[in-house]
Amino acid sequence: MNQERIARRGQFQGVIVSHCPFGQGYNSLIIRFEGIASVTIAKAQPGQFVQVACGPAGITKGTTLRRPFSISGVTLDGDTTCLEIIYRIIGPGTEALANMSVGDMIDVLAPLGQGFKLPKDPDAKCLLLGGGIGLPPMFFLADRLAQQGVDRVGFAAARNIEVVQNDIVAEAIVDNPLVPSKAMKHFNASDTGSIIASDDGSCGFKGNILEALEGFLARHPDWNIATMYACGPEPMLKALALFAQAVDMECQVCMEAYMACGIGVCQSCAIELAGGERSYKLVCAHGPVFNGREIKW
Amino acid sequence: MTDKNVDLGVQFGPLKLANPIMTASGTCGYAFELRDFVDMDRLGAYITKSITLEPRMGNKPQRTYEVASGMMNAIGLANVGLDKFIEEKIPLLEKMNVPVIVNVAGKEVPEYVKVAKEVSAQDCVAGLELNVSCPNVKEGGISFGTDPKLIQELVGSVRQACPDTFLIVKLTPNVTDITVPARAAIDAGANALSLINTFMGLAIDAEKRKPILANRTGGVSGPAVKPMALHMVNRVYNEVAKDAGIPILGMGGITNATDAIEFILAGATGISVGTNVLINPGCLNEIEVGLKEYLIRHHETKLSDLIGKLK
Ligand SMILES: Cc1cc2nc3c(=O)[nH]c(=O)nc-3n(C[C@H](O)[C@H](O)[C@H](O)COP(=O)(O)OP(=O)(O)OC[C@H]3O[C@@H](n4cnc5c(N)ncnc54)[C@H](O)[C@@H]3O)c2cc1C
Ligand SMILES: Cc1cc2nc3c(=O)[nH]c(=O)nc-3n(C[C@H](O)[C@H](O)[C@H](O)COP(=O)(O)O)c2cc1C
Ligand code: FES
Repeated sequence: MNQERIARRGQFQGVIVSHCPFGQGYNSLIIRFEGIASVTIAKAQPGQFVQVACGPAGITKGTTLRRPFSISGVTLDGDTTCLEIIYRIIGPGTEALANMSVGDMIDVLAPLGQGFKLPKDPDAKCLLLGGGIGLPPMFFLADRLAQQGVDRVGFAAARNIEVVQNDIVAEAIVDNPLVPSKAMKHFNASDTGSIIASDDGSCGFKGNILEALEGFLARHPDWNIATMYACGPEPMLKALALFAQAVDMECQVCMEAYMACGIGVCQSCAIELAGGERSYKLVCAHGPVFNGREIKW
Repeated sequence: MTDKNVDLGVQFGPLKLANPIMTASGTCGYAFELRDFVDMDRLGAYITKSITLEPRMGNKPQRTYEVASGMMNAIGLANVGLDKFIEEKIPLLEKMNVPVIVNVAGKEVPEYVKVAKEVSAQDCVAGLELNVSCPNVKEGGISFGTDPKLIQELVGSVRQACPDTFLIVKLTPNVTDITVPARAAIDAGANALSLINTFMGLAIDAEKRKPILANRTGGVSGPAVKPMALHMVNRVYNEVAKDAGIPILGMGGITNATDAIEFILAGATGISVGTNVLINPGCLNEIEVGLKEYLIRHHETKLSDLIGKLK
């Protein structure tokens, strides 16, 4: 029976074709895959993630757990597929990853988890809300929505501009920071207008992402029927999910949990669900995307 | 010599296995979860996650943590429970082309007995692995596996309820002398022994001055525990199992074929891979290839000739 199945995911090795800074302490890494890997990874959906062996393929295997990263983009190029991740250098795993060079082979499990549910209605409107390291899946989502011709606005929030500085063309921000602009390159790539918010006002709107969203919705009442897609730190997701419930908007959230396998076999990544009795789902298998109402905040 | 001339087959109790490689309970799901990464037909046998009578939510997160050369887990035996296992997972396991061993856990002896009886009655189940590392509720939470009297009571009761079932007893390493529970299990009717389950550990966040795992303590596994695991397998083989004719399923930190060979030389007939499957699921198939290469390189034809052959 195994042979007849077409696997929807797998363990693959690819070659690093680009590795460069995305912002202060953040890198963008692009891996190219061939053959079956290329075909399988080409089917990845926004919101899905990859489990990366953070070291040269074959060397660190067996000594450290993999690290999960959202897919921030997938591009097809002839018979090959390129997959991008954007990661923050924060500990031993991401430090080892940062030491890898263009030309190195890297081992991934991909694509994993359940991605965002995309709107079926071509007239839908989508709000893409990314905070800090929650931005990568939003870039991928923007790209897919663009292919479907769905109306969309990207929101990029960070404590300060340094985090995203290499991706920002500050001059492109128009006078009113709550008007979508071409300031963020990764959103621009899919012709998606973006609103930038920073806690310290160093770039774009001064304030948090919810305040930016509320400001935007006040100016654009026709967007009150939009679907919210959010990824970022948990307090941000909580604020957005509770806001969505209060104003009766749909909100899909992309969650994180400490993972070991990432493929649904070890039960590490439990996330508590809303409702009376204590119950859990697995972030790696049932998520990482959940309806905001499902989660116990 | 080519790999056609080498034989990885082992006799594991009543089971004739094509090779000694098995999954380790709790790291490989209930049935086919790994099939996108592993050719399940090339396993020696498949061992399920621990099944308990009632469904279990498991512990609060954080449930796992990486440590030097390994990991810690305090999953809390999260599982679907007996009824759902029979209803949903057995039909999947019926499609498995290799022998299926179901791992059974519980809080009290009658619970183990009930699960063991019902699971062993399923046609597709070739044997049971009793996880005796669980805390015994009646005895104030001490692990069944650390008290030889409790092991005897537990294994004896399951043996009585399932007289013809191939019964593997999985021992905890958290004891002073591993041969004591090994003997107790064999005396009570075990047909095979699994060694080892995880070592009790504690991980601390110095900044927050708090334990990292919500459960406070957790079990340590992975390459970090391999030397202790090998020592325990070797001791039990030499002092208990060899003479009793009881096969050992060895595990603890196996990542590749060389590790597997080490366990076999120490006295294991079968080997399980746990933690490394979470990292490199493909290793289950890579080990098969590596074992053949080892035999060819050493001009051996039968892997089973190497069991316990540590000089
Ligand atoms: C589905 C998912 C998608 C993610 N996407 C991205 C992404 O696109 N970009 C990015 O930079 N990061 C992402 N992360 C977080 C990333 O996995 C962690 O930052 C990384 O594992 C840290 O590893 P480290 O060894 O460098 O740091 P460590 O020293 O291991 O950890 C540093 C911090 O990260 C936390 N952490 C460690 N492992 C995990 C884990 N498995 N999941 C969540 N937090 C963890 C630790 O608790 C600690 O607070 C994602 C996590 C998940 C679960
Ligand atoms: C995440 C995780 C979950 C586990 N769950 C179980 C379990 O449910 N039942 C059991 O008998 N052993 C369980 N174990 C123990 C393993 O089966 C194995 O005995 C141990 O991890 C040593 O092998 P390893 O070093 O190859 O992982 C678990 C181990 C891990 C890492
Ligand atoms: S990380 Fe192993 S089940 Fe989710």
